[in-house]
Amino acid sequence: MSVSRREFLKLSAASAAASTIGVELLAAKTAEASPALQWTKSVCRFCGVGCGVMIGTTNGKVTAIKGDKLSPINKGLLCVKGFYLHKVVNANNRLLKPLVRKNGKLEEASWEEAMSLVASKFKETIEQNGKDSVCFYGSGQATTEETYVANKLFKGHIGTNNVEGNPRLCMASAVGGYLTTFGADEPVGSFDDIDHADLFLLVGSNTAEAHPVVYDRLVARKRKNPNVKVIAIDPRKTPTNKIIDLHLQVIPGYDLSIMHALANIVVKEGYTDEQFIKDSVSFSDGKEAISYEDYKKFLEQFTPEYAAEKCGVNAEDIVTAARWYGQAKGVVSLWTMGVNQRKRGVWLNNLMHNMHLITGKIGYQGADSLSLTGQPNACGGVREGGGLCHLLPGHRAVANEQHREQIAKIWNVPASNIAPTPGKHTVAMFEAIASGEIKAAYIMCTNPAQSLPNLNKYLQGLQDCFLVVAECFHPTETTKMADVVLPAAFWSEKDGVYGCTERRSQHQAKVNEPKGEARWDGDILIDLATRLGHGKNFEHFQSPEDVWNEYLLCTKGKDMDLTGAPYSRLKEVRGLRWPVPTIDHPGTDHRFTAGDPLFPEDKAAGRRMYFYARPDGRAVVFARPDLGPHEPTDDEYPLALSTGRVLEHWHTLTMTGAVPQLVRAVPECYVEIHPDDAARLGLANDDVAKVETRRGALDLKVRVIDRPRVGTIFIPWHWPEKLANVLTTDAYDPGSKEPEYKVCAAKISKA
Amino acid sequence: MKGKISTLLIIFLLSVALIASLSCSSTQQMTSTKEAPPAPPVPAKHADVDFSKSCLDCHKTETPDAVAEWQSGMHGEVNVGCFICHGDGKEEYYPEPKAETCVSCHSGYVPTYAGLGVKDCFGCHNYHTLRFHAEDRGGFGQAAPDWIKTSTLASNFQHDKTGGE
Repeated sequence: MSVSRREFLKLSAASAAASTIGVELLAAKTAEASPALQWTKSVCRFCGVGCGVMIGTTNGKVTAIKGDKLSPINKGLLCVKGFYLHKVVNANNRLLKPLVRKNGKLEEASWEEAMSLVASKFKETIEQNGKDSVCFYGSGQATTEETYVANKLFKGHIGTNNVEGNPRLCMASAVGGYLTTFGADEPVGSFDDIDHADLFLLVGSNTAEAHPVVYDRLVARKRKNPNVKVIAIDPRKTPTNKIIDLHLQVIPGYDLSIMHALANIVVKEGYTDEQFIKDSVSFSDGKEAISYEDYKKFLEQFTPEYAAEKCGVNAEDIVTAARWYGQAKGVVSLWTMGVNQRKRGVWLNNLMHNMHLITGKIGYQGADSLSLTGQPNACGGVREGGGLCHLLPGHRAVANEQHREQIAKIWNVPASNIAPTPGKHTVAMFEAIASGEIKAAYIMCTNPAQSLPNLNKYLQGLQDCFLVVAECFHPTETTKMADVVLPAAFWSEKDGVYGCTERRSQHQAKVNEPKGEARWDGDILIDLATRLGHGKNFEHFQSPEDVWNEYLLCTKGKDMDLTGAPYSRLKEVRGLRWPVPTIDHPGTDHRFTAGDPLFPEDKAAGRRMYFYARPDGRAVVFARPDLGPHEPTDDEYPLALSTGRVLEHWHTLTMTGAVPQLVRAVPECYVEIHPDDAARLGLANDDVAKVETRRGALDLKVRVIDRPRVGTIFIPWHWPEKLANVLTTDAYDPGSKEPEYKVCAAKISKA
Repeated sequence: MKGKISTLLIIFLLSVALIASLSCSSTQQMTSTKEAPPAPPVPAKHADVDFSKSCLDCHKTETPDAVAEWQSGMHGEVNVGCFICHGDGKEEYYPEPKAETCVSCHSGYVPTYAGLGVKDCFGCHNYHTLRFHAEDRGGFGQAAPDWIKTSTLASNFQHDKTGGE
């Protein structure tokens, strides 16, 4: 080693707190003359796992990234997407100037021209057609501060609850599940439970590709204790199968029956925790309370044979899965879109929780019902921040008068400013845009012209309405349709807070100035608020930190209390898991039990868990029917179609599509088909096939592979050139209003 | 019979000695890398090919050995593709992967190479299989279940100490 550590430290910048040795040693060795690299702690921009990253800057330019080895989530590890995040900052699809449509074409304009057009159009639309003729559509990728400003402007000042965000399309069913079962949104436990569990139940989750760092933690757990088992319920074999001990490869859309069957066997064979049920559980059929005996009777119809027949799996495997579940000391269930993006997504979420409740395997180290999230701040900004049409900040509801009053006070507006009825949920919002009822839309940090289901129904409406898109990247399918595109600062160019899957809020650091003329989204919204005449209540927001401080007032005394997490603390620590009510509180690893600062010892009266968000302190076990998919297969459309993800890409490719290395990894869209189906239909690898549903058609390259189940096909949905969502259905869960992206009926033939 | 036992004893003692020599010192493991076979020469610039295809589309037939090695290792198991270490071939291309790249994803491993007696990650790890060179030659360690190869966090190796589990 030519450079000693002492010499190296002299070479490196004075970023001692952030500095680790590995990269610098090598960098110093190879490029001694290069300017010093500074490292700053931040959080990854991609999925909801919330990996800690260190951003490397050289002379104010982002030049490197590495995992934050002090992060309790990823301990320094990055996945292939996070590895290239620094390249996205400098990508050539970054939008640098505002664009305004003139004579049908988007042309560069000044901020003044763009913003005065946006303000005058919104003002005119509201005056002529009422407050509900405008809407805001945000993102689980925006910072909490940005969503907060949008909420305050639209719900509190314009006075419309037409405020939605893309988490409706991915997390709403999980929210519905947590709310109805536990009385409060978000998980009881945390990622730490993975390191102590004996059994993992993965349902509708390709963890290895969609959440690679969580997958790595599963493997690490399995290595430490070889008796650890993994059960998966999923229609598709995926790279996650490498660690799966028992795979129930189901026909898509019928797995509610399996979850009930698991419960049935657990009850029959005596794996229930009777004391826990007596202390902390109640039962419901979805309409009214039922007894434990009623529940047992309800379960009887769900024999393993019945579920096996419905789902096309072996009855013995269901029995084995139930026994493993019953015998394990700690079980962690993990699920994603396969459970949420379903017509019965909320019910299926409830069934995941049911199992933990009847076996008492919840609320201690190694046991949790943990919904994996897809976006970095769906939990923090939108679920906690209240960025949906029925919510207000701090886990509040617009329909609750007290909640409206509390928030109106913080917003310094009369409570009557906030409408008492929910606005339009995402599908209804874009239907209203399509029908012309909503005439002006402000879209921030998301790409609905690619990500909405049943796209053909919605694209014309987006063309016709007055569409404002604030976005870091151009072109996207959505900016292409916009009347005004506003260049937004990206990730490393703004401070903010991201809240990940495990209730952990983490500081996202500003390390470089926004590219070109880009501004952070909060600033753009404050500008709009001022132009609409509401400046007085926004002028004290001089920085994201000011916004965060006001937001903290909304969390005080709530189940998601973040009072103990001001910027000063978040900048130092590797995030905090709420409730964190005071500045010296360490955060909470398990809710509703001893150690949770909100746990009411008096009410609990010796019970291990008291679900204080429920009026009676009891979590609810639901006995509801095992309804199937909205659009079952039939003679005309005999195949079940699922869409999903690949490891190397994320959502609509605005970020990963700008990284040549990731593009090279998976350059184009394809359709996966099982070899038996391919042989039957005369399809071979690299053939081009036409995939059709009742809503649209797409020509795709065929990949014959033993991954999808016979009778099913799979399409990764990332590519704008091949809009998979022209095929998907916009039928949605009646409770969560989340569309059933994961199941529809399709046919395929050689093109 | 007596002869047989003494033969077995000698074999046993030799095995013990061998195992001891392999595990007594991590430095020794690392220095064994000097015996690693030299990598085949790689052109400095990637051939001008159809870059709309993925790396593997061509390389599974062009360089099947390298692909098979990669697939058998931790990176292959979790689809950390060629591009991570070698670049996309067009925008950037590293015929010899740069060791600082490793630490971006594996910053939990803070190596003090001086203590390990090697100059970078590849002093111990094979480029493609990521196993120890000695292990790849069949002389080190015990075959682990396949799924262990899919984890980074599962490793107990303390890179910031001077080696050892």
